[in-house]
Formats: sequence, C-alpha cells, structure tokens
Amino acid sequence: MITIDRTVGNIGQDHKLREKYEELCREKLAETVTITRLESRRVRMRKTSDKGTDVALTLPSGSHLRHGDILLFEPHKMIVIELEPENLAMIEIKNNIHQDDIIEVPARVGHTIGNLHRPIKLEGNKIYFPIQADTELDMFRKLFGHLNEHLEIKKTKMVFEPEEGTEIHEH
Amino acid sequence: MNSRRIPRVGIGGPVGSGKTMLIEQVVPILSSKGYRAGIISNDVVSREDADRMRKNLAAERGLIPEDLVIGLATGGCPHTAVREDPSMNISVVEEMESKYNDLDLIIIESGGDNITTTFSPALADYFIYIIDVSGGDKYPRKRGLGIESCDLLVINKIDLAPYVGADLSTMERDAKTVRGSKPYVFVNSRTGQGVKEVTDHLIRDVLFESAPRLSKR
Repeated sequence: MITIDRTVGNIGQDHKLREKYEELCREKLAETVTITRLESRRVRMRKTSDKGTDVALTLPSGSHLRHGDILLFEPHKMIVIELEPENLAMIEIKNNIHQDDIIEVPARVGHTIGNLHRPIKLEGNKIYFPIQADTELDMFRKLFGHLNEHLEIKKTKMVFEPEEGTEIHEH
Repeated sequence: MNSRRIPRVGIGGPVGSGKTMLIEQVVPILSSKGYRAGIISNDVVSREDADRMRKNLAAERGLIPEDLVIGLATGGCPHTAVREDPSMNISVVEEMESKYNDLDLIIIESGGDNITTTFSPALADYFIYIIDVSGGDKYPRKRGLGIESCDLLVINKIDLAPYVGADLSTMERDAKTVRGSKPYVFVNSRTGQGVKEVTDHLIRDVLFESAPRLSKR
C-alpha cells in the first residue's frame, strides 16, 4: 500500500506533465485510479489502480480531486486520477431565439434544471447535467414545454466536472 | 482545527433496517482489536438510539466513554443533516477530535426512510447503506443513490427471508448487477452473522489496517 497525502499537478492543465504521462503510457508505466464524482470530494479512501497498485489517500481536509490529477510521479511510474464517465443530458440552445426572448429562454431552462437540484457544466451554448435514467430526457422535454423549439436535448456519456457552486445535493 | 482528522464512517438506511444494532455489533469487534470508536446518532426528535447505545456499549460494557455516544435530534429529515448541510454533525466530529484525539474512528448513523440517502463527502470517508430483507427482495434492483453509490451494501435480517418471501439469491444477483465490483454483505445482526466481514471492510478501507492509536504509544 502506498499512501498519498497530496497531488502533484494535473495532466490536463500542464502540457509538460501530459507529455510525460503519454510517454509513460507508451512504455506501459502509467496507471490510473478511477473514482466517481462523489469520491472526488473525499479526502480519505483506499483504491486500487488499473495495474493493481494499492493506494491509500489521505488528502488535506476540504481538498478535492480532479480528472487528471497526479497522485504519484516518479521517473518510471505515474499514477493519475480518472473520473468515471457519467450519463448526462446535453441541452443545446439553438440560434433561433428572437431578441425579445434572449433572457427568457436561458433563464427558464436554468430555473427548471435548478429546481431539480442538478449541478451543471456550461460549454458554449450547451448545458450538461447528470441523469440516472433515459426517461428523464422526456421529463425535461415536458417541463420545457414551448421552449423546446429553441432546444436540442440529447443523452451523452462523459466525465462530468460541475461548475463551482452548482455541485449542490442531488436526489 | 489543528487536531488530527479522525477517519469517519457513515451508516444510513431506512428506519428499522438495523443501523443501531449493526453498530452495537461492530464496535465490540473493533474494540477487541484495540480500535476505539466514537458514535454520533442522528434522529428526528428522539435520542432513543443514542441512549440505547450509550447504555449497551458504554455504561454496561465499558467499551467506550459515555460522552463518546452523541445523539443529535435534527428536527427535519435526518438525512439532510448528513447530506445537504452536515455542519451540525461536523461540529460534533470536530469536538470529538479535539477531546479524544486518540480515537481510531467516528461512526455517524442517520436514518430517514430514503433510498437516496448518501453522506456528504465532507462528513464521511466511507458510506455503509443498510437494508433488510423484509422490504422485499426487489430492493437492490430498484436502485437509488444509497444502494448504487455506497461503499458497502449491508443486507440485514437474512434470518427473516423465508418468512417474508424474500429470495436471497435474487438479492445477491441484483446487488452484483447494480453495484458491479463494489462489495455487499449478508448480515444477521441478532446473531452476529456477517458482522466480522463488515468490520474487516472498515479495517481495510477506512483504517488502512493501521495499528490502533493507543497501542502506538
């Protein structure tokens, strides 16, 4: 068991670390520890990497793990955090909104998602939030009512890291 | 604030599923290995569970000091006090940390008949969700945040299965489907069956198999 009490950078944010990671991947010396979004907020847990390394995490209180965080960086070994991809709803706001409705459409969409206590991730004109069942897409279509003509709603699966401050409780 | 952070385990599950009795079984096993635990019990208006554990574990058996069993009457739904706003629980945890810094573990129990019970990661490092067979063998496959996301699923009162028409093999199959590689344990808290397995998980995944704090001196 190796104990990790802090992370040492992130391969998504530091391109030099990314290159090193890719190099170690080619040499099959890189390992990943996969966690859920809930676990990313934990500071103490025991996990096993994809190559079987037993990792005990004791991180500082209040810290949280991000996709790509490096747990261990040695010349011939790197262990990186991977977030488990999640089922998400993707709502794209179309370019067909009349100037008079420019506030109404996004405000109502945000209000509806917030009322159901979902955290969100924003990317351009797309809003992402987690769903547990495909039937939720139909529920949201119903809730959006006449707004649907301005929206494209799809299911997708990917790593979800919510905007700060929107990671409120879900139930 | 500077006191050592003590590992914390959350135990959640429906009313009557056996959370309190599981704690009453786990604490003596931990204690026999030298590990000392503090207990926080969340309930709506009463402190009955805390009082019972204080009597059974502290007063009668002397396994832990009486002031290490704290009852919190949360007023509203107890699950909100461990998920949305755990500040009340965190303040009790911090009080225990400053007063009894040699504790190995703090166990936080919270009821609330809610299949979406989870513990805020700010409060608990590990989450046990407990159900009992009398809710029907459909329980695991109906999913819900508690069953899916918990670190250990405990299925209690297996001795009652034949009387309530619950098929344990169905529950086992569904638990595997829903939870993938994450563990589950069949338990009978009355006889202690399966409790050692639960304790082993705690020692491995929460205590990291470290020696009890007090024996290190």
